[in-house]
Amino acid sequence: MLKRILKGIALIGAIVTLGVIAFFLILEGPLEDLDAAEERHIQLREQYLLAYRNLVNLDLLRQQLTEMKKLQQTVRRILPDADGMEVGWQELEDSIRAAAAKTRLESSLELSIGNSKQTEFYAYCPFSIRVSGEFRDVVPFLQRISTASEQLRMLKHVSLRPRLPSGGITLSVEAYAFAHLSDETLAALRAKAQNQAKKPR
Amino acid sequence: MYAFFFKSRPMPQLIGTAAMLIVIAAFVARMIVAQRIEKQLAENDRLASAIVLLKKNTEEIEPLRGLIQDFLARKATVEVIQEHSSPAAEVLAELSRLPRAIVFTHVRIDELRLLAIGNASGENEVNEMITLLGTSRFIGRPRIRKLDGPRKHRDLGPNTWVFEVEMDLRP
Repeated sequence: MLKRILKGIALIGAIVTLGVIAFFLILEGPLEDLDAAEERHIQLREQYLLAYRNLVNLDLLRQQLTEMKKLQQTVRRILPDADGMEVGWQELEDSIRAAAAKTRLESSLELSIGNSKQTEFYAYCPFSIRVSGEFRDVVPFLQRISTASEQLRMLKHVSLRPRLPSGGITLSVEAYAFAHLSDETLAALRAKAQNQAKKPR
Repeated sequence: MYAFFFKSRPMPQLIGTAAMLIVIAAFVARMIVAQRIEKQLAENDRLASAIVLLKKNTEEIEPLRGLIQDFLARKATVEVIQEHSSPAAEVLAELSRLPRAIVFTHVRIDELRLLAIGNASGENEVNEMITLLGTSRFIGRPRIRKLDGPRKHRDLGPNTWVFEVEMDLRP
């Protein structure tokens, strides 16, 4: 009886072992291929549905594209692309000089532009302005270089003092200009930050 | 019957038979799986070519997704910055529209706080200025910090008050 039980156990053990070996040698590869093909099918199905939806809504999407291009132009004027990692200082200088020229303050304009810095999403650079003239010219000038400017600017400090002895007022401004960092630049900045964090102190 | 089967065959023969059956079963299963793979690959090819065709018809709107992402990223940045942006130019324009009885001698804006020093032709004018400034959407809590007078002023007369006012600016 015991001999028969042992024989049965040995037989079951052999069958299980052979089954496992057969699975790994004969079936595992094809099953993995099948899984991969099914996964690819799911991805393709999603892509197909997306492309199909796009085709069905083509007219609507065309209209959306046109609108988005207009919006994009506007927002690009407000927050222009950075020149690499820097705020384009030439454009900044040109726009401030143009604003001064329009308000007859060009002759007294003193402009200083600082170095660009980067945050997680954008670049910014500080700049300071000193200009003297009549109040009626100075306020429109300030509007032109800040809120009425097409570009995003942030006024940090503004000071108005009487100009002595010639009369009129002197305006001093400390402000920031901003620029959009591209995805590639942001990725490079993040990689740089990670490398610096990894370096032993 | 089973007892007879086990009794009549030696162990190696039984294992050999089981091995053969397992191998045959595994190959049959492999064949079935291979057929399913073939079918799946054919279906994938069919889908891929259908996608190519669909994309060809819709390629003009391909840039839309990138445009939307770029637009949203810029818009978010603009909104964050504008939230903290001082309306200095607008507030100075409002100060310039105040009655002539008010003359500012010094205005300083530090981010969202404005401090102005000036002369007024009377105490009432200063209070009226505060009321007027309180109605502006860019100005919050205009308040008098200092008020001295009356004293003589060349342009504003003998009842001139020197004031110092402070206010918060609303972005």
